[in-house]
Amino acid sequence: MTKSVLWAINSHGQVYGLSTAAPYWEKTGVNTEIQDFKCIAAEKSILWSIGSDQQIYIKVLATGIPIRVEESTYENQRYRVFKYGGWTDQLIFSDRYNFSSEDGTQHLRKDGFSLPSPAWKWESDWHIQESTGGQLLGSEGWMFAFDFPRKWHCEQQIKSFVRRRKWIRFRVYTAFDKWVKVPGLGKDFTEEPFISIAVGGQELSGMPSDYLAVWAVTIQGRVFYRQGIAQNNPEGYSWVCVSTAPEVNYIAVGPNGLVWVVTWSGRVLARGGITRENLTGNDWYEVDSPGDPIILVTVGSNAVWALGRDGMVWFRKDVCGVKAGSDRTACIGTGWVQMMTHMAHLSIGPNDQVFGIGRHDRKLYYRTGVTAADLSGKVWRPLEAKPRPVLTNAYSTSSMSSLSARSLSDDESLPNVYGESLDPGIFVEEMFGSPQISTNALRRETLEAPPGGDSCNERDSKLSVNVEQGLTEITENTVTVTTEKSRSKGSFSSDVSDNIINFCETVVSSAEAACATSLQQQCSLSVGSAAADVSSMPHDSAADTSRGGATRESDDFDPAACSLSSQRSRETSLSEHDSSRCSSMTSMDQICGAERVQVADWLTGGQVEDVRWSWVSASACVLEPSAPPDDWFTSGKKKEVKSVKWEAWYRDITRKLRERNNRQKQPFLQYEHAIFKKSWVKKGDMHVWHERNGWMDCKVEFEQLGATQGTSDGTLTCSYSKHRELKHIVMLSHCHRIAIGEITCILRIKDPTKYSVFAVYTPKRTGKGMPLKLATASDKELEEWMKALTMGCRDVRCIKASPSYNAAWSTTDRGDIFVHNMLPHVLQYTREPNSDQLSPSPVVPINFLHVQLMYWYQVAGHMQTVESSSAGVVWGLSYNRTPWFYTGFLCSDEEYKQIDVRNIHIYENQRWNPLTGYSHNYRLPTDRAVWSDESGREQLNKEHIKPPSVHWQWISDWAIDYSQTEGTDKEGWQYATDFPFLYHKRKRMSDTVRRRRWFRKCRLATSGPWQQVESVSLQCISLQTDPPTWLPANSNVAVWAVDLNGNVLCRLGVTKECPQGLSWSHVPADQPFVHISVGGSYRVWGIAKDGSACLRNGVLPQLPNGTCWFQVPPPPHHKLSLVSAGKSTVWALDTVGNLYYRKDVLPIFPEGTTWQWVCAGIQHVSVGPHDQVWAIANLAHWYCCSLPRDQESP
Amino acid sequence: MIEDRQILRDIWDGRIPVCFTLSQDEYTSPDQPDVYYLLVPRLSYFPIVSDKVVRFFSQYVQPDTQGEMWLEFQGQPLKWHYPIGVLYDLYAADQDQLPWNVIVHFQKFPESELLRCGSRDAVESHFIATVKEADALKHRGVVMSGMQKRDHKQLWSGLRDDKFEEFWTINRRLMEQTVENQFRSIPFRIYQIEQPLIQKLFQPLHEDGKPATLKELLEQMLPSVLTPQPNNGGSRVLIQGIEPPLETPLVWLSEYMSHPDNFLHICITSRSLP
Repeated sequence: MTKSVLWAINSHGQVYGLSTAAPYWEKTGVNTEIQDFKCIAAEKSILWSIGSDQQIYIKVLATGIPIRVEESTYENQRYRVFKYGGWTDQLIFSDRYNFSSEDGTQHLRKDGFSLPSPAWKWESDWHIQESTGGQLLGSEGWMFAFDFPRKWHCEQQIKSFVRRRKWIRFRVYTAFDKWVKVPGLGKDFTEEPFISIAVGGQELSGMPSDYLAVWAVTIQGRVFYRQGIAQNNPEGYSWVCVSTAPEVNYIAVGPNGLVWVVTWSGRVLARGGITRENLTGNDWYEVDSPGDPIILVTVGSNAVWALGRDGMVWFRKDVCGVKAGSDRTACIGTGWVQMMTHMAHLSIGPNDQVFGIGRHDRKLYYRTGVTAADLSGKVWRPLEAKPRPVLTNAYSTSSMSSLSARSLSDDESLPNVYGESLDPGIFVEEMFGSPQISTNALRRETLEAPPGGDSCNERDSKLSVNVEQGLTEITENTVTVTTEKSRSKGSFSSDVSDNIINFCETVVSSAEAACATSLQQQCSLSVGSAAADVSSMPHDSAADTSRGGATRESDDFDPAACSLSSQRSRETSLSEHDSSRCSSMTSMDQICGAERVQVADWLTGGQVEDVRWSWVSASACVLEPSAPPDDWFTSGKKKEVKSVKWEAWYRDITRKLRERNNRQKQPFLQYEHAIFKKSWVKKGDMHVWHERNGWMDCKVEFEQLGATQGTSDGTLTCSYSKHRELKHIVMLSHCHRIAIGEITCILRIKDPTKYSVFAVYTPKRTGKGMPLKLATASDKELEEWMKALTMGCRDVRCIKASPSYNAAWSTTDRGDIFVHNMLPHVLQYTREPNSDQLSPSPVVPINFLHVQLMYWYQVAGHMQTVESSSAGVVWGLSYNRTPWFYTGFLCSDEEYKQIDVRNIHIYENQRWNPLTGYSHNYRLPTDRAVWSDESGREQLNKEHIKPPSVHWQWISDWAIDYSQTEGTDKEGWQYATDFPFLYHKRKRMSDTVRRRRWFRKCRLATSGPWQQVESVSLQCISLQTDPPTWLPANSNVAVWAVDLNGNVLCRLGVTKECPQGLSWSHVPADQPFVHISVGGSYRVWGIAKDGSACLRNGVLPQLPNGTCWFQVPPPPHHKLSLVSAGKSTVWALDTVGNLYYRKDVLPIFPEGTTWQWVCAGIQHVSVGPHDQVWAIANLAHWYCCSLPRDQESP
Repeated sequence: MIEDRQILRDIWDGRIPVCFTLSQDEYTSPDQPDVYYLLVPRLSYFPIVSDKVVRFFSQYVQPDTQGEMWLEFQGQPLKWHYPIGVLYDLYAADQDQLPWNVIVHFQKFPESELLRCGSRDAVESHFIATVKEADALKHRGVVMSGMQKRDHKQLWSGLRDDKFEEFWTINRRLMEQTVENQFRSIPFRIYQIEQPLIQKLFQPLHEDGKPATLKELLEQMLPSVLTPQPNNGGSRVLIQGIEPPLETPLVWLSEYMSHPDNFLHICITSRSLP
């Protein structure tokens, strides 16, 4: 299931996050700049908050994906014979600046660029771009032309009088996981501090996916909107004052961009007219008051909740976020409903799930039963999740730390922690990741806790002071001195060093932390040399306690403001990767499992006190109303079944069971079986598709015969009556009979007339292009039948639960995943792309008939693409562009929840006529329907389109899609001379038709053997092709990816046991990429946005990132869009579907010589580890595959 | 709660090849009858699977002397009400000879050692009674008594017809545990050769909430098992034909490695000396 996080602030101003995947609140780190916060507004990856100094801070959560911006300037020169005698930067007066933007209008000096904020850093110095549009330029990177602005050439010609070259430089955002101050208003930010902040607008129709609306209110009641926020610019550019309304006190933004505010006097206003064109809206609408002054509102997609001054909860009916920009009623709703509860704070999630803080107990509550049909929900359910437990002594009034003990490798050493710290009462705290320290250094601090009885606040402040001091004084000397000092006190034996207590910020970083743990253990062995800062002081109070008969409860591991920057730990884990391999293999589950065991211990020894919350932000928290995470409500005491899988005894038992069956059963399968399975029959009424007569009623029978020799057999019979028009109607009975063993594939397909349709393929039918198409009355029936048939087929073919490592994977355009277990001698590995279904390929080569015999069966889940590696790792990209990994190899039967979102498109078509202009009414007889699919073949009706299956739900309304590659005009139209044609965004004289695309989002809730890797968005992934036997032992599986901005990423630490890997590592490149492919022997090929190919050199197991890019020009006049590298061959596709083969690729000359054209009309190509090529033809809609081709004659 | 279907499936699919031979002094035909090979499910009971055996050997014996069939292995009469896998593990596993040579008798029923079976109905009522007993131990019997007659039938027919799904859709309810409703005690039976079986109350969790392990069970019930005996090679602890690690939590064993009768059948055999 997609992870998301609920954020909250406790009564001490500390920020906590509760992930849907974790049972504990994790405290976020603070840094020296700011300690506590007043309010927080969370987005998926960015937290906006107001600190105690009333200024705005942001924190960009590290995902491993870099934020990287290219800065560029063009150097222009002119050829002047006189006076200068050649090329010179002395341009003539009509020319552009010496350094300018591409169009020459702006003067951009190289030293004129500055970083937007201290959070940014230059990645590299200025350098020259050496290629353009895939064409290599000379070493100096010049492009030549007759004059500015003309067509540019790569070579100097006689007529070349001007030349230019492009200088580029990248800046990267570095302040991940840190609070960074956003510049305030005016010079003196104390003049007008902020009092309220809200984020939202992610779903605002027509906006790019990284759009974020940030609104804030100042003490003077002015409302500000933050401009220019994008994925590449998390901080935005500037504040814009939105026309001042009556003095505003509180602001809330919904996911659709709807803004509501509350004034000092308790009035509620809504901002009208917020649309794509007008992001700040145009007017304030007064919302009638419920009779009670309001102090707080929170805006969801289709619901608004408010709090009265006395804490009364109010719900606003009939708000509709999608229409709010154009419809006043949708914007302000129709009436208040009193909820008869009192709360102190409220926050609503993007899917209208509501959280509140109790007015008196200050506990968090979740509103259960909030669905689209019942937005007000049922009851408030308290969240029992606790902060990650710590041992607290009697003096701690609150436990606000996220201390966790991790001693994975030696669990039994945990009690030592108790034991060691018991008598001297030393509070041990560790911190690592201080910037000054080298990678294998960690800081260890033994802090003093103030005498007991002091108030908690005081203690906290004191502790943080200590931390600050600790930060500043790191010297080798103090290290040794203090270490010795602590040693002499007997409080710090090497045992302690072995036991690691670290602070961990998020669950996401748990895996890295595991690495770091082992790292720390190594380091701690050499405490003397490591730059550890240890300062220990006796702890009066605890010492007292221990003197007076210390018990376990007197241990005191105290909250301290401390953070583990996951970014840094990632670096750490990276550099120490090999050495920490053993622990890196442990997956999240194991860590969680281990933690839970420990936590049970902690709980018995210490006490966890309830946290009093002051603020909650659910705006980044997407909860499934049907299945909120159990851990949240059961305070983490739930027994975990999953962790069992990692126990030694479990593995032992499974192994022994396998052995038992191999010994006692397998050799004797030819024996008569004691129990015959009875045959059974499933019958049903369906419709069958007939070539000439269309859909006809039929009766379908699926008979599964009893087991004879361990296998079963069955038949599928479909009988129907056919009306034939002779002189009188004769009923002729017809019958399709298919043996189950013949079926090669069963899949659900889309059909223009029927909704629930599936197709049954057999080799013969595949050859003729006529699958048996059956339509059922309902989706439920269809699923039952498909399940029964699939199970029947699998039984016949003796297919076990999980596919082999060498299986071929494919996905249909519905997102269904299919697997073919290859016979070892035919083909190994392939990764598979989109396939369309319908008719099989007529161009299947004759000698490859066995292709039609291949049996494909469906795997649960929903993916757009699936990539597999014969090393036993399979990753998929779902439609919402997040990566998932296949868990079927680890634990075969477990299924996880998966949520996916995709857009359904419909095209609106119009033709121009001289009288009325463009309109729906005037069409040529040959034209497509007003509403159609992209090809125009199919007429659609916007109101009647259904989501792909009953498991899908619409989550938005139809909206115009402006994000087409060719671009659109303001209203989303694209113009062309006629249908179907190339479309362009501006109307020209010759254009007579136009179209625009509408989209509607729908969401699928399904389950399958997939788990999300991380919630990052990627456009392409690729896994290594080589089976592990070809590679050095213990090497990781190479996984490369391209994110939405074209950054190339390499996933570290991916192994068979840990298929999700550990962290992303960014591979810098001068150009954004669109596609990547990892070939044999770690040869990584990529396609840059300009259509050229790039080969990454020097990738080795020890050096997963490689060293440099080598550019390979594309075929002349074509842009490549996709590449696939096999063991020794490289194939590529260009943007119009031509397939190329790279000639002369040799191990010593991996880049090859030229691209050789193979054929056209290919949609996707994939090469396996034995150089077998798989492709999907454009028109044929089915796989055609070729056997390993000879290198010489592709 | 029951998440790991693969294990359940592997347990369910356990089979033992059996070679049935008619007792030498019982056949009347001139030539020695053939042996009869059968692959039998470990979880099943002999009366369920031996219909064909009876029919096959009936032709060799005189109808008037044919009494109720009983089975014997190396002089040891086999109790029909023990699951087949348990019988094999207890008597034959240490010899590790496959197929398992079982002698078929139709005469001289050893009344003192065996119960008469009569018909399949007897097996069914025995089976259901055992499930009820196990449920009484686990949940004070509330799950079984909350079920309908139909569900009981389905449990039985699932076992009888070797239908995993059919059986587990019902059995799942018997195996369910929640935080509030844990197993009260583990239904187990410990078998030893020539010893009465051991069945006592045993809590699955210690007072501190830690799960008890197989080792702790044996320590309490049969401490001699864990101490190696000088005169033989020590003892083997077999569950479902394998020796699970002694640190395996008992709750897990009960959930996953119990027989369909919901009991965890543990066989203690002596390790044969090399």
